[in-house]
Amino acid sequence: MRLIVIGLRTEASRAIAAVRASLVRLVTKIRVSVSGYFLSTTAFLSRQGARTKPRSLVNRILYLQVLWSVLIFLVAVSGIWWSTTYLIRDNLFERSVQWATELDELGTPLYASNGKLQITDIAKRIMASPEISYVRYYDASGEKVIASYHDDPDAEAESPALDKNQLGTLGATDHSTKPYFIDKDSDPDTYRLIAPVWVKSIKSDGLMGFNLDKPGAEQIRVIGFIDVGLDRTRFSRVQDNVLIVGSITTAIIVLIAMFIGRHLIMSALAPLSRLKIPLARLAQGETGVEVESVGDEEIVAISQALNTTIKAVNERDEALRKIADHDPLTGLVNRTYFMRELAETLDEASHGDASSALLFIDLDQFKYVNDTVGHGAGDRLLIQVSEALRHRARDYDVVGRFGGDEFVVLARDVDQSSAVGVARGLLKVLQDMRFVADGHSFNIYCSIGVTMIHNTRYNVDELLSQADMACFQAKSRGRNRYHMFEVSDYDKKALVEDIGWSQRIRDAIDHGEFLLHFQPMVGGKADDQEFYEVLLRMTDSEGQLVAPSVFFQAAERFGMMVDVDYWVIANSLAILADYRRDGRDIRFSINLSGHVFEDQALASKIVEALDEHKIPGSAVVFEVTEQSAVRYMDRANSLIQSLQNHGCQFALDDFGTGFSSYGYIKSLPIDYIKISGDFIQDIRHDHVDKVMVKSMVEIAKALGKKIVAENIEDVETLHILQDMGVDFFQGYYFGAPMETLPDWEVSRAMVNAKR
Amino acid sequence: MLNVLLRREYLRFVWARPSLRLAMLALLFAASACTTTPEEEDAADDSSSAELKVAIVVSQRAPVFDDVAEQLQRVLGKRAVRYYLTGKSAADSELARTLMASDRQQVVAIGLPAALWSKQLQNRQIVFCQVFNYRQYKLVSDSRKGVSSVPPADQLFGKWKALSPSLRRVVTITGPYHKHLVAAAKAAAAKQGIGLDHIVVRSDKEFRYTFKNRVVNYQGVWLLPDNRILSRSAMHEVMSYSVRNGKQVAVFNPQLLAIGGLISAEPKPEDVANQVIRRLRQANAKTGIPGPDVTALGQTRFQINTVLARQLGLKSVNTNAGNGV
Repeated sequence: MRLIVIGLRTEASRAIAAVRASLVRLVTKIRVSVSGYFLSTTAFLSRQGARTKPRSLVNRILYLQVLWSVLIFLVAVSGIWWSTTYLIRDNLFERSVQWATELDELGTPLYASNGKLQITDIAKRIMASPEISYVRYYDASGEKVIASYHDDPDAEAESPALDKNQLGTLGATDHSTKPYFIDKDSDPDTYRLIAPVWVKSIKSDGLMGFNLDKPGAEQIRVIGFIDVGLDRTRFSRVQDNVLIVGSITTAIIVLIAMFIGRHLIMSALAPLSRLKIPLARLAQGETGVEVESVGDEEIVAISQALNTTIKAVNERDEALRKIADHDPLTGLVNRTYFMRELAETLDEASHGDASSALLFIDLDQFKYVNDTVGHGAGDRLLIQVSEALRHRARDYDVVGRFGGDEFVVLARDVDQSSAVGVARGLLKVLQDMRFVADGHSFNIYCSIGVTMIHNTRYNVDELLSQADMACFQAKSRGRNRYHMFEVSDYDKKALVEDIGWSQRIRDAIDHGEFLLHFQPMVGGKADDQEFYEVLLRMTDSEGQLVAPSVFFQAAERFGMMVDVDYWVIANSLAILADYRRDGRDIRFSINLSGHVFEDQALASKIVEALDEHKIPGSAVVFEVTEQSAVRYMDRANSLIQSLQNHGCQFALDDFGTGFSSYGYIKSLPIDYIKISGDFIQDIRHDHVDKVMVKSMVEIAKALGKKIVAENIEDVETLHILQDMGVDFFQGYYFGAPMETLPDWEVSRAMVNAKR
Repeated sequence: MLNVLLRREYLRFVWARPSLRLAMLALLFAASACTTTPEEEDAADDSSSAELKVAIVVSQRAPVFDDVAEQLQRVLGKRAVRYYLTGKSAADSELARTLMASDRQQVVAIGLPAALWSKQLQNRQIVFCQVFNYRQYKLVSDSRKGVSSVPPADQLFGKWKALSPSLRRVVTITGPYHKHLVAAAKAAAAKQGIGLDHIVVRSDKEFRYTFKNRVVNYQGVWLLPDNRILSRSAMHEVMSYSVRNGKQVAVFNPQLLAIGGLISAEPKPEDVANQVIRRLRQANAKTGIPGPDVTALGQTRFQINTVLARQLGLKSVNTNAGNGV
């Protein structure tokens, strides 16, 4: 029973350790990946920055705004220049025509008097219009100037005759509109307009029967020419002034618009810029930031999305932390978290006089319930117990589950008598609890080990070991009770020994100090391939080889079983790969503890290792004990199916020791059944064992499984088993487990030897 | 003398005295016995020119000429034949030869082109009408005389004065060779208490300049149809100037009322025809055509721009011709 209890405790510890390890790995992985992502992004940006500094969107927009403003300015100035030039030119022409018409009229008396009159009105008009430089009146031939007026009285009157080209232009018209000759090029300072001076009359008495609506024939006679010179410099000055003023005004307006635009853009983009800081903090892994959700629709959308993402990341972190720190089944804190709290409490105790108590609770006959109503009901029981313990504990106490049916309570700030009160209270809670499942009603009892924490004499591992031992004492003394830890010699020695193994196991894991031995599993057929079970060994302090049963307990207690399992798997596959590379077609059978089922990534890790070593799945058989398989039925099923998909096979070890119903065996997709050595050892003499073995063989055959018999120590036993139809044989008869592979042919010859 | 007798004041004075009343009645009876109606004169003249055939030569087909030709033919009947100038020298010369070969001794030339064409006719009595610048083209000779194309000035100024009692200063701007016409007009205007001045210009340019610079002191302008100094643009310009400056313009064509004229005075075709026929009747193959170079017309067709009249604050006058503008 003690072995069973220890076994259960071992399994529970393995489970707890496996869960803890897997959660730690998961959380670590997530954190590494998230940090790695942020760091890689930062690194990427840094690398990018090393080549070309990332451009700021705000600066780019502002730069474009400046560019656009300059473009608009240039276009505006061009427009001003063009329109001014065009307007002035147009205006100049129209004004010159107007002046020419006006001066033409004013000059009428000149033609009436043939130039004998001096018209002061013309001089006055010129003086009143500084744009007019001069006006000259020519006779009909265009050669003689009959009158000339200048704005500058002192200026010498140049009176060039009109050339034939000009006369030709002015004369070659249909007289529908008055022609004008524009000379812009001969004198850059003067805009010269020459027009004919006409007199018109209605033809030959055409006023008889005059019709206003019907244009009658008129005759036009050129009686002279008028030459008006305009001061172009004045217009140029005006144009320049307009251009300068216009350009300056436009530049000022554009600058003002640019500054206002810059301000508006920066104001509009400010929410975007403000996102930089929280994003930078987020990139550094700081998930406590909150992004302000104000501003434009897009910014608000981005901010809200970021906040949602941050919240989701925080929640996921929280969930992961919770997963990492809590038992997934019961929601109680797990070993890792509890140990942290215990260490903290111990540290507080070291600084003061306050004392606390550590209670180790183990359910009595939990396996019975599990075996009776199934592991599903067992899980429900554990949950119910957890809730009861949680409700009973105080808010500042810590209640945890170490795996299996092991619970721990850290009762803070209690003296010994209060600790006893707590223990009694917990006992009472469970005593009052009834568990009903499948029509069965169960009384739930527990054994509680209590140890006080009031100084720093012991560390957390020692305290835990004390509580565990006290619990063991409680169980030994009849269960359904508590036992306060007393430091007796026995307890101390066991404690010291336990802690010693713990350290050695850790060292063996870290430094590869375990040993793997191999024992053949010989088949009955002549062409069976080499098949060996891998067995874990280590040496004690005196260098003697130690069986796993000696150090597994400590490994389970200190949650190192999963690590041991992985060490065995990794090293077994490495050795297998070496042999196979040498050309030997060998199969290994590797043991898995129940704890390893807690690791969800077990199957993927095994597949990864197989791929790494290029080992086909068919070269590996994994052994799980009947008890572990039944205990972790669903996970075992899932693991087995997952690895079988890669060609691996499974063997149910220690078959017959777990009192499992054959229904479980049927549902497990295993390939081999290894009958427990306990039944094989005395098969020659013990009829019951013989019958039991026979029935197990028949059942296994009926289920299509291959049978392996362990612990064969003599040929008679071999023959009996051969007659029963056992498929594989293992035991000291064929050789003890050895560090190197034994001679397979010898073992096979022994199996196939003639009787 | 009749005018004197018929003066209102004189009549009032005479009628107040029975003796004088009787004397006046007797005088009137005697006068009526002496005067003859145009028809009676015509009838008398008919007897002397009854066999003369008339060729009516029209410058072009235009109402201003055709209306007169119509009136002439109505009166002359079969004695008159109407011809139109084509404007082509060959055809027109042929017409001249044809007429010279014919027995039509009298020719009526309506319009300047016809009058000019008639110069190639020999031994014919020619009466021209609807020609304003006859002196310009030296149309007048012993056997070639004309009828004025301008309605009687006294009727114009009488009408004008009635329309605008305050009218005292009027100017007329023409080309050269219209001293006689203007002199008669001055006398007629004077009778209405209107001073008429005359400015001679030689082109539309001068006309325009003179109008804008010298008309400022005048209330009205009498526009005569002198094509030598008028152009369409000049007419538009001065009419517009007149309206802007409140000048009253008497025009020769009702169409000019629309662009700023106040009163138009044009000859009546029947009056022109009658005057022409009178001259024809007076014409003699040996002595030519007696009388002045051009005889005056007796009737006027008036039209008044009532809108402008209202704008100028003038009396609205019932016109006896047309409805105004």
